[in-house]
Amino acid sequence: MAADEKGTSSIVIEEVRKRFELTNGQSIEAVGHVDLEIAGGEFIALIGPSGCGKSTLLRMLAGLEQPSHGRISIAGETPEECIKHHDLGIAMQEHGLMPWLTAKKNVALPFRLAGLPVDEDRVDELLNLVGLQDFAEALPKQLSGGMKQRISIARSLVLRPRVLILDEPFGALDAVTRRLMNNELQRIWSQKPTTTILVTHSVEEAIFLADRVCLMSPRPGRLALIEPIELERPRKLETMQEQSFLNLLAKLTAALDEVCMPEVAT
Amino acid sequence: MRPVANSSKWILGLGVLFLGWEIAGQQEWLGKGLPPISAIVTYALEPRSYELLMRSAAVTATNAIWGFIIGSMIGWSIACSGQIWPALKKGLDTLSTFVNAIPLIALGPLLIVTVGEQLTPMTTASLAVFFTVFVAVLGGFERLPSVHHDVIHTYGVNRWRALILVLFPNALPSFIDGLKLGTSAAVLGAILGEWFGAPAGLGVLIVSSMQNFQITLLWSAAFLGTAMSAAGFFILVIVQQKLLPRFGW
Ligand SMILES: Nc1ncnc2c1ncn2[C@@H]1O[C@H](COP(=O)(O)OP(=O)(O)OP(=O)(O)O)[C@@H](O)[C@H]1O
Ligand SMILES: [Mg+2]
Repeated sequence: MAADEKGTSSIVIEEVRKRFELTNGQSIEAVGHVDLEIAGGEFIALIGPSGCGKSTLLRMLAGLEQPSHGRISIAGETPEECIKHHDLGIAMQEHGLMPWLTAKKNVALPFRLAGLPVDEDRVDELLNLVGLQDFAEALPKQLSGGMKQRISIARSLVLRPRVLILDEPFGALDAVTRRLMNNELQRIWSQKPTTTILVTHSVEEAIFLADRVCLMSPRPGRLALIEPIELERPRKLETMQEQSFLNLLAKLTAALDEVCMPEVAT
Repeated sequence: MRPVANSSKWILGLGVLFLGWEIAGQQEWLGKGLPPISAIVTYALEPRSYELLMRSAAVTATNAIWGFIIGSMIGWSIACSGQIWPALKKGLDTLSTFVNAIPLIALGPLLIVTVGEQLTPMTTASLAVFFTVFVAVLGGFERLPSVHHDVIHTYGVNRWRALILVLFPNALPSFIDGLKLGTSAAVLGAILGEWFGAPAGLGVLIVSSMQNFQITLLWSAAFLGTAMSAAGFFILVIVQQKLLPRFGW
């Protein structure tokens, strides 16, 4: 299969809500009402207070949860159909590596789960990309938290997905490695534009990487603000010091504070 | 150094137990029912009784081993089937629990008239093993963290591959734990099956020596049964120690 020739996929999220039924008969509304169109190859960063439904929204995009209302389509298909063509890559808050597989085999796992022949070169390329070629034969328990997270990102990219779903994948990393990984992610993304949705708690990271930053309000999450980021690409680490970047940072941080604690901000 | 320390503790413990037993037997503290251990060993090593004991033990071991193999395969297959055909899962779980709940004592006579006395011990042994293994494998499947389910879901739509590549490797440690418990269940099941009228085996020996009040023979047979369970258990401990690291555990 010529994975290289796959195009990009636009995503349409239409009036999506999610309500979880709890065992005691009550229910909680995790995602309020989200409408969003994402262009093919666009990079979206999603920020918002803890528990506002970001992961839930991503899980619905990945077909791991069904919306209670509304519709999600990826290049005109449902997430389930998208999964059948192996067009989706995910890296979640928890790395989800198989403890009995080496780093390399963990990266190769999507090939085997998908029933495709393992492309060893591709696996090595990704291990290099996340800087863990020397740890190819290490088991997850022999890797640090950040290393495991990097393996998990490598795994999400290995099948060259058209849509990449990243839920706080850098949360466990130290500041320096995190910036390094941000840079790498930008490089990977610009080499082959992939529709990407990244959830992050770092407003800086969101601005650095995204074409648009979406701010979600507290649960039930809705999109409170959508901010286009028109900084030139490729963005460099120095870009973070520029005035235009700092202005965006100030604006979005204030907006985040306001949705989180309206009484303090006003 | 840990294993050495451990085995010396074992030996010490057994030594104390046997010494206490020997004294209790010599003094007849518990009456004629508990002969001194030296008397049991001497009896068991006499050529005639030795030959009889070994012949019976071989029969029981064969029954137990086959029962163990068949029972574990059945337990394992039922647990896996439930994963591959989720619609069947509930039915299979209920059926297994139900079969397990029937006392083997009640099944024995039924088995004698259905599968015959030759095969009854093997069948009771499999019945004793299958549920332990079934529960262990199922437990292993259910302990899969939810992120791993997410990974399976996003990359593998095929249940067979998910089972072979993720679910089963994840359940391997608890599968082996189940097998460890299964060894003594198999020996017990085989001996019990032999009670119902099998032609030979430790179970037969136990019944006849009980009826003829051959206390030392009874004890020798019981010892051999225990030794068999222990041997099976330790073989699996070794398998566990050698095999699991090879699979990355
Ligand atoms: N399977 C579930 N069943 C019931 N409630 C759930 C379930 N998953 C999430 N929730 C609830 O939905 C709400 C949103 O959770 P979600 O994980 O999407 O938040 P989040 O924005 O990702 O938070 P964080 O930034 O802390 O990761 C929470 O109140 C959570 O308790
Ligand atoms: Mg989350």
